[in-house]
Amino acid sequence: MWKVVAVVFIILTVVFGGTAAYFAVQQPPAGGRITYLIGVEIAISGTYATDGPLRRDGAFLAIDQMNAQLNASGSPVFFQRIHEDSGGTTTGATASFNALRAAGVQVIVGPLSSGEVGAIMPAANDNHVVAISPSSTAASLAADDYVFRVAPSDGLQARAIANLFSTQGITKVGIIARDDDYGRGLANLTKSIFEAAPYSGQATKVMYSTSSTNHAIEVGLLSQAIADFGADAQTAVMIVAFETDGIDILNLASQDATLSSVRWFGSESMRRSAFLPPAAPTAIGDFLVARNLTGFFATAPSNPVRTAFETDYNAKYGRAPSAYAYYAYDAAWIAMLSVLRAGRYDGAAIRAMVPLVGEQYIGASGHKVFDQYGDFALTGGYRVWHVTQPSGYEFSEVGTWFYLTDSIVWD
Amino acid sequence: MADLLFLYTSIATLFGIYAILALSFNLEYGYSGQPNLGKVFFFSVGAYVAGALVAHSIAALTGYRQNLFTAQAASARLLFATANPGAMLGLFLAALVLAAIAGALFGVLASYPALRLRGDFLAIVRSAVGEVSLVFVRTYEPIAGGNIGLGGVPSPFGFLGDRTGRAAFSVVALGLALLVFLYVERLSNSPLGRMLKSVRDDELVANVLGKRTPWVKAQVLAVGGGMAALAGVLWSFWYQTVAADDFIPQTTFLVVAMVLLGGAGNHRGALLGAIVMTLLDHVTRASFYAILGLTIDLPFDINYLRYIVIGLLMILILRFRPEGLLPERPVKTPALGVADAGAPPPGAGPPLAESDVGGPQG
Repeated sequence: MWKVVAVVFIILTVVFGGTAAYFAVQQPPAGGRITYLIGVEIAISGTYATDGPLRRDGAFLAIDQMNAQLNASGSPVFFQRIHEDSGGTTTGATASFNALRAAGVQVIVGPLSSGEVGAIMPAANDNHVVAISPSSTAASLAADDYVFRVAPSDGLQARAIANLFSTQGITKVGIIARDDDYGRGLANLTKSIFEAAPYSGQATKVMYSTSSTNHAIEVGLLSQAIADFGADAQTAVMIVAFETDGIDILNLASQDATLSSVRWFGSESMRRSAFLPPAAPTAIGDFLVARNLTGFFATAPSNPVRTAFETDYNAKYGRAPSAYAYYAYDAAWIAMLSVLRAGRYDGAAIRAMVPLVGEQYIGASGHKVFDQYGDFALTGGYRVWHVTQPSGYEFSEVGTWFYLTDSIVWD
Repeated sequence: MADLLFLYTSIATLFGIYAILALSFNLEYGYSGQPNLGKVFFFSVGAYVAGALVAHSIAALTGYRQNLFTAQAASARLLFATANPGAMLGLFLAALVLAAIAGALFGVLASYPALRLRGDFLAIVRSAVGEVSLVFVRTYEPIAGGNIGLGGVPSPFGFLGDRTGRAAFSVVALGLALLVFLYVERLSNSPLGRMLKSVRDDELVANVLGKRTPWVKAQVLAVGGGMAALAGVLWSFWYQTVAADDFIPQTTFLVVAMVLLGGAGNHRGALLGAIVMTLLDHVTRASFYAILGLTIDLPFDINYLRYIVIGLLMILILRFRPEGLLPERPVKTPALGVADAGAPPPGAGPPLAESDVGGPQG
């Protein structure tokens, strides 16, 4: 019996040790090369199995671009990335954060969700490690700390959405949303803002488990809620979903007579080519065009950085970036620029530079100014898009919601 | 500067937690034939008890009346822990005791479905319990902060400093795992352990022989539930956070994989499965190699290896060695020792002569 145990351990050791030795590259100090570690704590499994890799690739693209530019300029600086999959859970986030810290990392891109950010916040503050989250949006996490967030909070998007409902004559909304901190946060805020003055609308929520693969029950509940509202011109559906769950919901909804008779609105996570043909079935594309799916995306109009990012991302990975890949890209750039500006690899020094870098940084998702809590301070607005089919299916931008005036200006 | 001590403490602590979980499932499934596919629920009970006890106790002691699930509240708890190490140690011990009791109580409750259900149906019901609890806790925020979770669960050894505190915690985790192992070993080799096996091998015969099988099942689920809850307490204090989304059904299947890999019905096998999974969890992280000063440049994301290897291991084990790496061994009893040695059992007198046997004389 112990022979079996010994054999197993020997095999495991040889396999992993040999693999590590084969692929390990000992980087000799080449002419005074300066290597800065950059942690990438982006979940690519669990509830982020579909969208996480796209966000990770956004961060990777930024790091590769920076290294290429540094190399071309003859700089001795090199950013070595270390990617940890947190699994989208709070304990996974803590484990990944501690592992990166143990590896000597002083600045991290991530984690993704607000739950994860809340979990690592105390450790980040105690150990002076900067974390720049591409997609945490919960308002309750606003604090003066070592954590920065480049995505607008749920409250801002909820305000924009409520305003959009009003301008479109919508007074009754059925919201179907992912039951995670992103979906629940956005759904709750949208409902509370839309039901309050000056909108005084009616809203109902249908939440679904992120681990569920079939949403027939939830779509049925949504259909019933819309029917109860009258399914008239003043009634609409709002969907907060990622790719896999979104495709299933849209597929089911397109076969439902009630849901196929009202307007549809979506969160910024719906602005993905995965929902349009040829990636998605034509029936879904036709449904989205017919229902005039409309939503927001936090970026500036006519942004050349955004265009360049989309081109480079597509060229490198052969697919379009998801909405939060833009933020991951910008988060990585801000992290690296802050390190360079600090002049030394120290968390406290890097933290001091992040707001200064943000003031002068316009990235794929726009101008990144931070407020006193290190959270994204929306100074411009959200771009309004909807699904059209002039030739092929696409997201056409038609206006801008301005934060300062809480109004939409159509193009 | 890379921190090798982190690796040692991380591996030791995670092994301690996994070992307790694997031993609990092995006792239920390997010894009494009850595949408790709701294992994650009992694991989560321990974590929720620990988190709630710490959050509410510290709030009561400090007079903190605001939302317990914010970053500010988490910071306040951490400050309290640093200033009051005695209280934190007390809370840790109290959490262990309360969680074990809660886990045991839920274990008894979990035995009731077994009165009417068998096989796949029982497995589905117990699995559903884990999923229902996840949705409930995620929705009902007062337990663990809903989607955001409860951060700032202070380490009971935080007063020793970060590195020393982690080392102390890992020693405690290993110690607790050792105690649990010794306990289940003694239990398995006791009359109760033999009864568990009889229920597993043929429940009808056990019933016919007068054994109260529902009570036996309740006992083993109570013990197993309490053990899993202890692991949950360690988990919450080690990662210093509790959230509903951490306790997903995949956790149960990870525990099942440990026991199947190591060998069901053999507690050493459960430990072997736990150490394999612990090492697998660490060597499939880029940070592991970074800490060792190596740079990994694979053509794919190394994090995916974890899932691929676990799946492959399960396929290989079930195909070529379904009894596990360390198969079940005979129960160690005095009678077995006698049979092996050919000697009379200890305390026995000389063999009886025929004339000593009672009966009609003459």
